Amino acid sequence: MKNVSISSKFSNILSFLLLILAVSACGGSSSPDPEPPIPAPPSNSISADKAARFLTQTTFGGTSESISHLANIGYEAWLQQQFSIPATLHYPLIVEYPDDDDLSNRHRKEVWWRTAITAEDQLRQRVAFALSQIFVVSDKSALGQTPYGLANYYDILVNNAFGNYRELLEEVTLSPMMGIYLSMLGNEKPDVLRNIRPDENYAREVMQLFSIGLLKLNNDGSLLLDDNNQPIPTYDQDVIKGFAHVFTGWHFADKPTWNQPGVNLFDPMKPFEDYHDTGEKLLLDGSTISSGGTAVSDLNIALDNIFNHPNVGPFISKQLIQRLVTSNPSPDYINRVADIFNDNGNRVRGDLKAVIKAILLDEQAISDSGLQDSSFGKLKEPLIKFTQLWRAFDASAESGKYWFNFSYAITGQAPLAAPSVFNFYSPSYSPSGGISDAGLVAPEFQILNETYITHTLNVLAYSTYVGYQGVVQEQPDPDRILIDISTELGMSDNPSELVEHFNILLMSGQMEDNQRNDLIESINEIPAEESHLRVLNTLFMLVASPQFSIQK
Amino acid sequence: MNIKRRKFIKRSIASSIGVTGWMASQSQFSLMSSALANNSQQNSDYQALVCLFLLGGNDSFNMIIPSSNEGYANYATTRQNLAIAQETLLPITPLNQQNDTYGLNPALSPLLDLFNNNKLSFVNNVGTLINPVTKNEIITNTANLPPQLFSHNDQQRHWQTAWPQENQKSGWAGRMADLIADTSTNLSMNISMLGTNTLQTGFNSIPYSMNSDGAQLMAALSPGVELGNEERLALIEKWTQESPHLMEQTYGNTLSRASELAILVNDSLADAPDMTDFFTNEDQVSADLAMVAKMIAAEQQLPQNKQIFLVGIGGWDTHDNQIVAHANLLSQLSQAMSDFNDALESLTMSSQVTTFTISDFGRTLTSNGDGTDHGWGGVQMVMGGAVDGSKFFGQMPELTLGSDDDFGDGRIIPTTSVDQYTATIAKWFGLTEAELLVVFPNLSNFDDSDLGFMA
Repeated sequence: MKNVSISSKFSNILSFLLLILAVSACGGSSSPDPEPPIPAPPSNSISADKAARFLTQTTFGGTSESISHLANIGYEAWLQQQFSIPATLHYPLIVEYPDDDDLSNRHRKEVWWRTAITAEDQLRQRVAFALSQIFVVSDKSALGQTPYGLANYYDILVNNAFGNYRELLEEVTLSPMMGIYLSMLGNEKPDVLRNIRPDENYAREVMQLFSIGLLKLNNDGSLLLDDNNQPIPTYDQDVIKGFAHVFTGWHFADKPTWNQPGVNLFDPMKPFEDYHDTGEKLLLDGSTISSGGTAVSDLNIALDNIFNHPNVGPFISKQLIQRLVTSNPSPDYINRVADIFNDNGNRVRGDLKAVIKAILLDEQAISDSGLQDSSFGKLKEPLIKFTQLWRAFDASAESGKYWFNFSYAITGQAPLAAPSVFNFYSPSYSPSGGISDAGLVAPEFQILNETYITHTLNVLAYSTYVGYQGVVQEQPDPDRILIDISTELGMSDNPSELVEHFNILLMSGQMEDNQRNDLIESINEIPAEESHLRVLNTLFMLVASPQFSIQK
Repeated sequence: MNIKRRKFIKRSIASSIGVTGWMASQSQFSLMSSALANNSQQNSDYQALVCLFLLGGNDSFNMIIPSSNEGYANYATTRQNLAIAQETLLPITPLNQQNDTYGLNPALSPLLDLFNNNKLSFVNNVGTLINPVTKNEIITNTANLPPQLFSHNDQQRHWQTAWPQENQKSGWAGRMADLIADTSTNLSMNISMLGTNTLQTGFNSIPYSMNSDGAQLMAALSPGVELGNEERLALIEKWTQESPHLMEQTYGNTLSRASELAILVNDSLADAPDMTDFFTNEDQVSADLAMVAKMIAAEQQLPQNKQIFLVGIGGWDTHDNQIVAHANLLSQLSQAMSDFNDALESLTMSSQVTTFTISDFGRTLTSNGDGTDHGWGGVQMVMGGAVDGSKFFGQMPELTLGSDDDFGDGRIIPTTSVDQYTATIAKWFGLTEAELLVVFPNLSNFDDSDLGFMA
């Protein structure tokens, strides 16, 4: 049996990975008959390359089917389809698990992986994931025991991914998850006798991270400078105090009164006027709220004040571009997208659907010029590296589940699991060396250290060499995620065909001749009868390569 | 490890760092450091620094608390529901004269013996400054204040760079490595248990990241693990070298470095004693410090005569639930520090290793109900056999609201700068006066460049 020979050949990989995967069961699976070969994708056309490339920017990874579908209908029609597909919500999926003591954030993460890998509304899910790295809440906090609440929070991002930023900002602000995470929940008006003043946590971070940032920006994302060529802070401590007073008087929606019990983790927080400060409040750029307002009226004025700040367009647009397309968008690119944020053409500000469309259809995102630029693109986020592999090869587990809840220990990334509200990496992180020397940034490199790159490569080895359907292992594990390489096995005697197939599917047709020739040569060094090894070795070499790791 | 491999690492590390065009500050630094290169007091004896980064901002004015009736009453009036009960304070008597008597927060009980045995001192009211400032200067808008006071990432950056004026990407520990690192080994003098960080990134050096499990090999790429790994790694490295793309190069260089250094670290750790038994708790900081102790034990094998370790501890941003959360953090931290000291004493390395804390900022003395907000100055701890222990350094601020030390809401204006605090440690680590001024460009703005807590 060839399967056996592969497994034994790579037995060390298994023993290796058992060390790091000790937290999760990871045996083998029974070996079902290989599925009949799937027809090869349409002939390699430029449009297939472009379709594959577009899918790396818009989804959790292209498949042969989705590449040919997009190639057939084109960008615009594909976007329209994606905009109209009903949202896959995470909360209804997590409640399918039994509500017992065992239910935890690992179940929420399973739902996330299952959705990322299998859901139809790929664009919405990809944008929601990007938003989850701007409007950060994390299970590495008091929220570690609230999987239902966090799934419900994630659905705010899913539901509003194509909505309006202002509505999203309000839902995030009033979410009890955010209320707990940044301590607006239970925030009270001042009590001068007890030296108690409002909590500044949410006031600070909503401005610094969720909307406008620390320094005034031009519409193209560059710093606005004063007469002395110095950057201009967007706010000072007095403004933070003003907003801290705004965000008083909110608590769990099911509390009959402020001091009675209630822990509704789902519905928006509710106002308790007795605990809301009604004094005058300083907002951005000298605006004020006059005294006598309610918790709701003050909140609306304050969120409008933030929403209408000129920084929001460039600040949010740039980060969405960085998550979807490239780490270093040109000022012109940011400007074009921020223009759409400011006005979608129908005098609507903050239309995220229009912003997403502007980002993805921008010439800088889709033209070939980026492919000639030695700094265009981004390091693939670790989670997206895995989803891309598993989507491209229709990976599944016998149980129908996708357990990769230990991804943080492996890659430094997991859904809603950042170490702090500052996300997994900073939008301005610049690794030492060529990138920094060129004055460029590359946020995702902040978590590409020796530990994480090694663990990631080990799990990629585990997911290829011994992670395919049909692999024979001692301990069958119905939760083992296995890729389907039946199509590729059919190409194993034709090395150039196999490499070109991988080129389209994984590399958007961007493979250079050197890599192509080296891969073909390495296939030819493996005897033709070792078809599994030919396919799997080539696949691992590709997903481990620098060329696959950078989305261009 | 064979010569060829060592050469390769050197080349790949050098090419991954690059030396061109970082900005004026770098060329200035390079000029000065090359002028100093031969004057460095290279200490042949082993020394290590262990930096404990309390991420989020420690409410450190709740660590040592005035215990006289008058001092406590003053403290309690300010801190209200966040005050630590007077009868629970653990009395301590600093060897140097203080204006008041003090007690330790009971959650710090594991540190009591260390303090009493001269292994630990407190450095008071340290914070981010460019030069000394007074409240009056702040009120009249004439103070030269650091950028973005009270913002987590900016203040963390200041603590790490000690160079806030520009968008500085190098940290003081990284610049120290640029100056004094022993280059006979390819492993960085800076070893991080906290991943990529600014503190340990120099102009010409970057930290090595590992975790409490040590260093792992790459199953399908590290030479010697599987058949064919040499060939596979060689192909990845070839593709890296042939790529014109900056990010592909950076990814490939990181991969090569990780693969090569894991072999060195693994081989060196193989014979080092396991230190986990010294640690009482099973939390992350204990696991990290157990691995740090093991790396210190392995210094002969590595071989490294100087090491700087960075360990991070999260959760200090106590905007709410502070009473419970902060006590837990202090208790976890102090137990791990005490256990770490025991581990070092078993290695008879206690005098060669200095452990110290840093944190974003202190916190407001006033409460927001059940927590505190971002402040400025705070108290730090230094521990080790070389520390002038059982003392307070720096000046305790007035804990009265509205005092000359209060920026507002009990955000305390620091009277000792990050530069003074860290330069005192750096000097013990072997930097000359001239090197200190290169590594800490703002140090000359302060009167004392040595606070005296390193014996």
